[in-house]
Amino acid sequence: MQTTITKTTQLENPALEQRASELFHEQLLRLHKENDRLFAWLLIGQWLFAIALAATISPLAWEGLNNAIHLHVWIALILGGIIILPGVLLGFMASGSVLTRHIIAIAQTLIGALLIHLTGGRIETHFHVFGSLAFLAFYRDWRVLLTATIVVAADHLLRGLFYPESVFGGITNVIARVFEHAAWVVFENVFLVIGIKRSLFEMRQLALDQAQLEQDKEKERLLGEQIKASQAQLVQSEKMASLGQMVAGLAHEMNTPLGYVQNNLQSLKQVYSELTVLAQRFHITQETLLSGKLDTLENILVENASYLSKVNPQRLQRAADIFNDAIEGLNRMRDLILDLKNFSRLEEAEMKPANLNACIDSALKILHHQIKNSVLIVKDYGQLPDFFCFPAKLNQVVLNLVSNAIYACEKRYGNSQKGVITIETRQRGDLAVLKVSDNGTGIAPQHLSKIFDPFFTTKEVGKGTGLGLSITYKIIQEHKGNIRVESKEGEGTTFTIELPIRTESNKTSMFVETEATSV
Amino acid sequence: MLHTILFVDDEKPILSSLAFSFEGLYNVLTAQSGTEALNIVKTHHVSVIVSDQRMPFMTGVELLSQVKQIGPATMRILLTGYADLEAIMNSLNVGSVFRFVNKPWNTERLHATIELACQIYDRMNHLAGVAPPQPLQQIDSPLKEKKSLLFVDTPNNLEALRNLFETEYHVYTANSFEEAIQILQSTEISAMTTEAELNGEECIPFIVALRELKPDLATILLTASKDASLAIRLINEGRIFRYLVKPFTRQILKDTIREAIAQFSNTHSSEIIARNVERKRIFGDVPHIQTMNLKDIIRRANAKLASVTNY
Repeated sequence: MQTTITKTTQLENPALEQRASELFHEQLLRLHKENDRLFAWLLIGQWLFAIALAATISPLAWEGLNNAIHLHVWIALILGGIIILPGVLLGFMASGSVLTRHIIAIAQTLIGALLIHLTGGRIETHFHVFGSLAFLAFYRDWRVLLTATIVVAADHLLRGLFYPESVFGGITNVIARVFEHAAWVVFENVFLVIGIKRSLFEMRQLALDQAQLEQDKEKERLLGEQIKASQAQLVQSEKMASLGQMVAGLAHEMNTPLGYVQNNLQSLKQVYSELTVLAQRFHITQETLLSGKLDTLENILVENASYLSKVNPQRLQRAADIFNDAIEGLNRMRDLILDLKNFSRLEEAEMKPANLNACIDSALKILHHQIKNSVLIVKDYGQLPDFFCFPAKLNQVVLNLVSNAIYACEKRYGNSQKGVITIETRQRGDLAVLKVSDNGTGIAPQHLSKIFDPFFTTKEVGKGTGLGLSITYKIIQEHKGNIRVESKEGEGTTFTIELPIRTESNKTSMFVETEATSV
Repeated sequence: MLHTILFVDDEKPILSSLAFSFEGLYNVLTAQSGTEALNIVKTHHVSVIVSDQRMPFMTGVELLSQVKQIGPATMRILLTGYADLEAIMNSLNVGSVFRFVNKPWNTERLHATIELACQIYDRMNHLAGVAPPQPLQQIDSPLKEKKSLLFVDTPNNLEALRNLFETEYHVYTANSFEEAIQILQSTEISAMTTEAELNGEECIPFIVALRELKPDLATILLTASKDASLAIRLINEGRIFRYLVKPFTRQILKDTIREAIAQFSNTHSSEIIARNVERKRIFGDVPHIQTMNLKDIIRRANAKLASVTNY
């Protein structure tokens, strides 16, 4: 059962296992390389130490007879050099490979042997072997210890047999001492191998943890991206919704002038054809008069009278009126299209100077069809200079605030036109202040703190996205302004927006100073 | 004598435009608000009233439903640029409008519609002169004889409808439009309710066909979907009596059916006269329709309708 579970987890997350093993081996390789280089330096150091030892201590220690450049100095220099050379070379040039650490192990034990020889087989120098083994254990590879042990044992045995003074300082009990030394080495090796096992286990565990962490981070990142994407989508859908609202408003606003412009032109076409006939009659009359055929003139004049009687001068006067209406209607449509053009640039790259009062007016035009039915708009505009802003975004802000206000008024009064929305603008120092107040239903105190949260809405499902005010908030932030709300349930709501009056262009810099928070 | 037509809109250019194009043909009056319009309706014999929907203080539907009280004979047309479903359905259910016309309107079609409305108005007045109008049956008074109802719906709903109406009426049910046509050809039905869509088939062709086949049948649409374009077609082409959006209370359905029977059993009611005048105009003086299959009836009805009503 348990194996099945393990298998499943492994199967479930083979990527994790693989990543952990990768990390583990990376770590191990790094360790090996580092160790190889350390040993290379250490070998050089030990070689120099051996030379120094040979030059200073050996002559005295070695029977104290001779103090010239002793043979041992040459041994230390040449034999030591031969011992360390492969280890040092490989340590620097082929660090990390399996062969390198075994060669280093051999070199390290042999240099130990050399030192023992140079001190005349002093038992204290044998401690070097234990130190070497402990250091070699840093490789966390028990095979390296094996190599070192074999070399130590072989060296002790061979020198014990053929040159016991070099290793034991004397010639007594050589075989027994070889075995005793070997036993201590094995004793140490046991602990070192246990240590290696444990440390490898810990490294594996660490690698697994790290792999897990990486995977979690990746998941988090992906999740974050997903959230960002879906948020962006919702913002887009809010934009589409306000676009839809605009299009509906625009369609209504267009239909009215379109209706009468079309109808007027149709009527005028008829008037035009009546006038064309009159022009023809005039032409005929003129020709008759000029040609002097006065006998036909009477008939023509009689005919003219019958045509003239059909033309009603009052109707012609009214035709002029509906002609003007048609032109007026076309102007109205042109203005609407211009307003829509402002709205369509929701993503403006740079701020440009615009007048807040004009922004409000064009938003109100789009909302006209909703306003005229249910609420009274009171405009109380103050003198405001043009300042740098994103006019289309401010249009949207006004659109959002006013359509919320209309909603609140309609909810409270229905169609009875008791709803009043006051739009006030003022300049206060270097701030432009915009207040939108209504006498609608107001906002419940428990909702007040949430209204700027994305997706918060008290409208029915499908009626509002709950993004209108959060987008408003974001737009105000982009302008480095602030927005406040005061509301009393059952009495009404006031939104106050303060925008810095920026008279100089604030071009977008090339580099991001602080990471922008995008909703 | 010229017919008097009244245009109501809060936009002055619309009124000037309409007045200019209709003056000479009719006695044209205009009003810029619902209140003004009501005063005119009270003091003049208005044959046709054409009103905008979205106006301050009083919407078009509110105005038309009051006009209906003051002068039931006045033909009511709703003209609006705002395809607002609530308004469309109210225009039928509250204002009983004759037509729903969208802005921008087609000038020639509006002329044709107003002309037709005037004919119906004449016919109603003529009949009223020949025989005094019978008092409309009160909705709450018991019906003298047991009438027959036809329900066209899904089997589940039919079961519920049958249970609700069995005691008061002879109940017939159909779960397809073909079946409904068969029942209508063999049985005298006073009122019918139908779903907007059955077995993936739309009801419009069926309802349009019934205008020729059974002009004096009251049709009530029961539907779960609020669809503005469907509602407009049902008013203008289908001439349905009411449009009820599910869910509604049992009482509303009962009242609507009673009202329908009251309206349609009176041969001098505006509903019947309007339908007969329209039928004659659209389909001509056709002899009684022989038993035909549904497809043929529908094809014929649609072909004739297409030439007359299309907004």
